[in-house]
Amino acid sequence: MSGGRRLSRFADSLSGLPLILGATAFLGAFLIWPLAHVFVNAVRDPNGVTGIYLMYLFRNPAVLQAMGNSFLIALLVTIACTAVALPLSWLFARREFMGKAWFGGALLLPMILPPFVSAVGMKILFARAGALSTLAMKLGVADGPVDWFGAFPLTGIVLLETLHLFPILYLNLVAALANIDPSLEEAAANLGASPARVFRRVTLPLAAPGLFAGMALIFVWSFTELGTPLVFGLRRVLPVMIYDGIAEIGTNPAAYAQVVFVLVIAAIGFWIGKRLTARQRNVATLGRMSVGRQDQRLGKMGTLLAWLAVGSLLAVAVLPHLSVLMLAVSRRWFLTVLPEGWTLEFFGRALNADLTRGALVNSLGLSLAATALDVALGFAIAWLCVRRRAFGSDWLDTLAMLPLAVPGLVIAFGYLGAFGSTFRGTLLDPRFNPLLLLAAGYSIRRLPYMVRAAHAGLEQVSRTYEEAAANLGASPWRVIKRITLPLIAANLLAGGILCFSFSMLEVSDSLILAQTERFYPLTKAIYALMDGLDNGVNVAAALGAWAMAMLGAGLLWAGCILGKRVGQMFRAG
Amino acid sequence: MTPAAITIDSLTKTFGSVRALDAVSLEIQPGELFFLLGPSGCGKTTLLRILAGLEKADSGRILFDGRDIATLPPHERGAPMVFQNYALWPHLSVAENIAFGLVERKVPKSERTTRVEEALRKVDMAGLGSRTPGQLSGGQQQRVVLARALVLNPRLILLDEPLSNLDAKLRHEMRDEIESLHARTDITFVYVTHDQVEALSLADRMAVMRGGRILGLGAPADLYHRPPNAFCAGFLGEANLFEAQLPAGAAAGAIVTIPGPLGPLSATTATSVQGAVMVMIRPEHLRPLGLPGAPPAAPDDNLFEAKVLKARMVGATIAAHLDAGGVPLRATLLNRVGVTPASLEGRTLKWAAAPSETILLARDQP
Repeated sequence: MSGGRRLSRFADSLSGLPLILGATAFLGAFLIWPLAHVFVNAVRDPNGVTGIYLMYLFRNPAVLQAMGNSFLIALLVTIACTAVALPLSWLFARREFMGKAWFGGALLLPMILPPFVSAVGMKILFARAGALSTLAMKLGVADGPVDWFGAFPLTGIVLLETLHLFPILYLNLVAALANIDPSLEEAAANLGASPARVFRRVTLPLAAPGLFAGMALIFVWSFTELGTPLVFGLRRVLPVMIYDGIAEIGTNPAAYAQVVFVLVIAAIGFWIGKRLTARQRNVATLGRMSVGRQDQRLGKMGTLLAWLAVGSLLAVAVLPHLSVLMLAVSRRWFLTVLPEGWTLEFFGRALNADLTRGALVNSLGLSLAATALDVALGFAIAWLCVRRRAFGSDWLDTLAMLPLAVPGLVIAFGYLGAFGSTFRGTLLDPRFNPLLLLAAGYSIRRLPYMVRAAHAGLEQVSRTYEEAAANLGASPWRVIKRITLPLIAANLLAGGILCFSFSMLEVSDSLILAQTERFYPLTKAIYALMDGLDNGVNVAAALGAWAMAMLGAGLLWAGCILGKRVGQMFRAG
Repeated sequence: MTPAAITIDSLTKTFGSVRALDAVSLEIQPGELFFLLGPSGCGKTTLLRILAGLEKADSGRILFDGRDIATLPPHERGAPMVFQNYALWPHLSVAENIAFGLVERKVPKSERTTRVEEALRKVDMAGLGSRTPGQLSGGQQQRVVLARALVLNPRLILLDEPLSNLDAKLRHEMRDEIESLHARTDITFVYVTHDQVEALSLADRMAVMRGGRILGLGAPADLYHRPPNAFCAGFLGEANLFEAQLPAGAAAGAIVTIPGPLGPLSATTATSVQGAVMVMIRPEHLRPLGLPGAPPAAPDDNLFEAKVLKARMVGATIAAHLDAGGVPLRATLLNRVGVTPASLEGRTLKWAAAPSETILLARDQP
């Protein structure tokens, strides 16, 4: 009898098997295999295994310089993001003031455009013949034209990436601060600590794991960022060197070694972040949360100061976006502070030229496909883990989260190497037709967010809702259709919108995989147009503005649906 | 003979190393209001969930109306359940909640509407079908859950602690409601609770469970007055229990004389016993003699002396702590004018207990 029983439980978990196998096959083909390909090629030579290419990384002065630059950029961006996000998150997590909700939403705005696109605008704004240089000359601050970022390309890169990434650290920190039991801080104040001392001795130590986890995330993201340095023309950073190595992918293993190095750094950062996030949760659950938090209300003066601080930060943060918009509507913007002549012509051209219209269509189609795949896969994986606890589902969950640790650059490079060499001339050869791989890459990269969204939804929905439905006569499929899906629809929708928005402006996969104009997605088209003749840069900016509008609308929509939970999507681990 | 509505045959279920059900066998008759009663962790809810198909037993058989249903998935069992936390779907209106099972059974829309309205009327909720569950009070939600099960005209309804989330007043109301619903239909009710008052006042029959086993089975009055073991005696109400030895075995219902700490007692056996036994006298069955208005002792009554250590007025009754030559006893007295707790404290009285209310029962297995 008990043997039969065990058999039937086995059969139960088996019923999820096709799903598990399908998902594993997809992740295996489009995540594991390309990664394995990269690793193997980094250590392979005609005579067998060798570590020489990896060793060579540290002997080649160009690579060493690139590593140094990459580390420096990542370090500076991380420090700058912390300097901005730490006081900001304290203000939003501990103080109440008029307009807080509105400002809180606006702080997410900088995320809506990849720094690579805003760099197009910023470069013009800060160029030798750009607005700021002209302004400086007119004010008599500078004698001649100043090429701000040309002289210090690192400054521009760090500035743009900081403005783009600080909201992610801010979201992580607000979550960490909100989880601290208020009575712990009240007890410190009660025992004689001033507000500053309370923050330094109680709040900060308790939030430290969350802070460091967020910092690790920022470090990895800025370390692996390809688009921004590319636009600023800084060739000596690792991602750009890898990008430049694409041409000789078949012949030169050095690029593989560089990819492995980037991957290792990313994996370490991700691992640290994950560990620290787990510890933050332990800290958070220590307290009983016996009292609701009563945020202190700022007075008139405080409110004004808060507005001033947040407002000026926002002004700087939207400057890149603004510059893109300006560029998109200016007929001529050369050696003047403001553009001479305004026009909407470029918006029209962005929609009508073959290249740009094709790019919009490509990106829309690819993002829709990737989103549909993510919603289906994400729900299936979360459901198997949370509801069935099926055999193999834990492993699948880990696998689906793995893309968080793998930079897009690495995945794209792996695709090019693995699929390009194995499936030459087929639909899986990116040089022949990159669309399938782009869709796969987009969806793999965003799958973790979708799994998280579905996971959170399923955990909020009590199991008894489904049991009651089964009990009243609904078959398992009908239970999913009539009860489970409607109850977590909001989560799926929000996750889907995020997937879609970020796929629309995905940079690394798009730049690396799409090599024929016909297949260019949005970002690659923008990159191609940037140096183009005939006001190419203006059309690029207009295209960026269109994308910005779509992405902004998407994020706002997702934010409305998810409310405060939008921060959970960008947790470090 | 018609088959039992539910036949449970040596059902066993373990969670890890915990034995939730240990070879439980039971028959529930058609139309019965049957209670599964026991402390938390006794296996009663597990048994109910296995009946609903929401858990699978490790071994054993379940028959509904003589048909083995062990392999049927939950949605094919036709045993609607009233969940402890209601499980009303928040995305559906009250009417849609109630119509859920009808939709699954492909009942045409027009018939659905009438049946939902009828079900709402049955539970006194007519006209509230368009509300969402969140707009209802706890008692109203409870009614909707009942209606959601009743609307299917099932042969069997499973109730999992249906009243535990309600306040005392609502609980009484709903108790009456369930009783009258059961009286009006011929549906078999299987009702899980840890509240012995609920079980004693409603049940046709009940099973008292502990540690995955049924320790007592029968009608409420039988189990209350003749509990087969000390656990049932204590779980169903207050009981004075002390150990005794019965050298010669006796069948259930026999009257025997047994030596004990209170002297030799005439006692009725609740079950066939021998050797180490327990003597049980309910506090309300200890009668003080010689108080104003107290009836005299009957000729065959067991008589002994005991001192009142403490007495407290509880309302209709007075609860007294007694000392009978070193044996602590509790007694429940009717609260009459002229008998104050203060006047009782410190007095040594003669007490009587009828042989039919002095019960011999089995000691608990460890």
